[in-house]
Amino acid sequence: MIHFDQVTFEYAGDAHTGVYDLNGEIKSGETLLLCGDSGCGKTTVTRLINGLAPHYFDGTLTGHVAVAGLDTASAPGGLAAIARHVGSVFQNPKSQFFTLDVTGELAFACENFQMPPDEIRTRIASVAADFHMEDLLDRPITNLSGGQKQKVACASVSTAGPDVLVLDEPSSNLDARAIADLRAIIALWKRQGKTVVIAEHRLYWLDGLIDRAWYLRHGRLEREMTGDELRGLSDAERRELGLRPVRAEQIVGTVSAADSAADSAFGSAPETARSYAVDHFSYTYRRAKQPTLDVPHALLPAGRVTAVTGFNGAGKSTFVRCLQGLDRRCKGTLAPPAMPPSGAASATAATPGTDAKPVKPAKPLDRKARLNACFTVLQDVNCELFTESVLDEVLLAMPERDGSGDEPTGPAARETKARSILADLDLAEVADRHPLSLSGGQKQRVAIAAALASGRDIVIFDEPTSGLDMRHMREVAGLLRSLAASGRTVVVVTHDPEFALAAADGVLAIDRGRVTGSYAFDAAGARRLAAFLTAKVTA
Amino acid sequence: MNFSTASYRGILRFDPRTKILFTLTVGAFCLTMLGGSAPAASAVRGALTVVSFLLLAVSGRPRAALVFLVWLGVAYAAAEWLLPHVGGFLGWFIYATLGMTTQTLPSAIASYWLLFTTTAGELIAALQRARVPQAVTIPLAVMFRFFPTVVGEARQINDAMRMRGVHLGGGKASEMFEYRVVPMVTNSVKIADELSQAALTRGLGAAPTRTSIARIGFGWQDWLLAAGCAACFAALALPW
Repeated sequence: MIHFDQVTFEYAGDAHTGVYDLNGEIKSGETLLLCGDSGCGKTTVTRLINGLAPHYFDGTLTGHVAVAGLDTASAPGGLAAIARHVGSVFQNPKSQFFTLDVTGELAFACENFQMPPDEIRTRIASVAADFHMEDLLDRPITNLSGGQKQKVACASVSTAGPDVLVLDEPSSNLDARAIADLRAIIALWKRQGKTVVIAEHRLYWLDGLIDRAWYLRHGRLEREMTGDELRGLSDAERRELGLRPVRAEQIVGTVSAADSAADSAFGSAPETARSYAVDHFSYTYRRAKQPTLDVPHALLPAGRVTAVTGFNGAGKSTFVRCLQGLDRRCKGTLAPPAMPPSGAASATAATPGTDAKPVKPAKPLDRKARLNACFTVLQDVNCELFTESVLDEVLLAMPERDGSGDEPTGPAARETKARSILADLDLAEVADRHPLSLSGGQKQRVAIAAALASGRDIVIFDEPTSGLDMRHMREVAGLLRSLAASGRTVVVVTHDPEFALAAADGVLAIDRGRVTGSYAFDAAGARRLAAFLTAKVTA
Repeated sequence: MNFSTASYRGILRFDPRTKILFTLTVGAFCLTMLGGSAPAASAVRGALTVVSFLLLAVSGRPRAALVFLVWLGVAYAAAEWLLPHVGGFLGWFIYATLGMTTQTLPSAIASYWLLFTTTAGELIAALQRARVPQAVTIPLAVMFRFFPTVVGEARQINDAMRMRGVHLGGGKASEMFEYRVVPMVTNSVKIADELSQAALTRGLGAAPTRTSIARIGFGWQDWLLAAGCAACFAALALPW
């Protein structure tokens, strides 16, 4: 179905890795996984199949890519001709919809191909039935959850009936339930005899669906595996390749092996004296009678990393917005701990950019006070890069007056402090670059640098690892751990069981706006969390 | 301002083209005061206002129609009984407010009716039937699609700025506007770029025209309303 014949593609004047000397064939009805580190060329391979390279992305292509008998580079009709055979699902649900309502979206591709309206309606009805999404039809897309959006994206390529489906990191923004749905969709395509190509970092949910896997490194196909070979990789080998767990049971396995998280210093339930206490948090939408979020009491251990988990729409993001004090509708207070976090006081003093605050029974923080006590690193870090240089970004977040009062606060001193924070985060060389010219990981570290510069005690992360490969995920987990080690209280919203177990000390589980569990990651806690966040994978 | 996302399924379904014609007619007479103070023009304005209310009421928004009606009623009542007794600046102020209310309200009602009974898809389909080229309809579709996205982005940027103490009254007000533009533009460009990729891989531009599942077309009610609009303009030619 798809042939690569000595294919090399290099992006024009761009740092992106291309693909080099790719040879291979993907057979009709086969499900192929593209795996490897970020920037290994996975995405480029998907673009070569759907024709975006070279038709949308400029670059030089040598060799031939043939899809369903069409040479993608020279096919008459270009992208549109390829589009009849190849359907594409992308990572970001925010930017792959062209219309405002679900029905219109499902019709979009068919309308472009000038199918008769009645036939399109029949197709929509049958795809909606196949995908169990009749209830979504006619609904506004903006009101859907990330998982529902991804389902709509899959359905909307399905209506046009392409033979080949290409998915580029489709699970990045999804929770366990939505991943299970996505798995069912791919299984359906497989049964329908479609050729499916998936580029992914999270692999466990594809267990049993993969016929073959291509492992890429630096734009080259380095290793080809059958589905069984991929499944059978030893943990050591898998880590050597930088791949995330390929089977669900390996997720818990990684935890008990790496015991960084299972910390005996704090037991199964958080200690009240050393925790921030969340009291009477609630959030009620306008015109709603019942609060969407209702948390009478919860504990966030100080100087620890707490993972806030739950399904899409469970109220996690509302909870952290309340915590940050961003919304006027948020009610409730946050009481600082009565005792300092154990062993953190000395670490706090040693870290530049931290205000060592005297810990005494402080009064509970109301919404406005929390705005200055917490700092959130947003999921989309592009929304918080404002200035013309990385250094300015850090200075912007730094308070004019230092809380401790015993440090000089002149512009020179501020800059020195900012540079030392950047050095700690391995950003010293890029201090004078424009933030938008950095890579995704670097941008995220700039946001973290801003959080450190703010000198605030609570740092909140909203989904920091969507779309990260294993190495980068471990890096981010390490950053969170070091923040906690320096005395910061870290709260991280995540769907990702692998990340939660690597980064957090404990979990606050939220479902339908209520706290349903609060426990530490001892061995039992880890298993409980992994079971909760991992999609059911049944063959 | 946003289009409806579910197509209207009530009894009085009009083609989007008819709705646009009606809204423009109301705008011409009530908003821009076509026909000036001629008695025929006043009669036309009255009739258009009444029809706007009726359309809104029978199209499933009786409560909204009632609110508009009370609002307009209060404005006229105030003009009749309150205005003659108030002079000076206050009188002028009330006069101006009432004038603007009575002048804009009918158009507001008609536009509201147009928006909530029409989906973006229907509008685009109608424009395509009217032989408006894709070079116009596609950017228009993208524009409708973009509003909610841009609002969402702006909210996140706002959050990030407030965390940094950059907000009105936060002592960094001058940076507020400067800093907001950068992420707004870069994010919009990025979204637009990804959106184009998604649209192209789904065959946008495959053919010079597209089909549409939007059920549009003219029925008796369209001819009736269009004839009514024509009559309004014809009334201008009346000798009195």
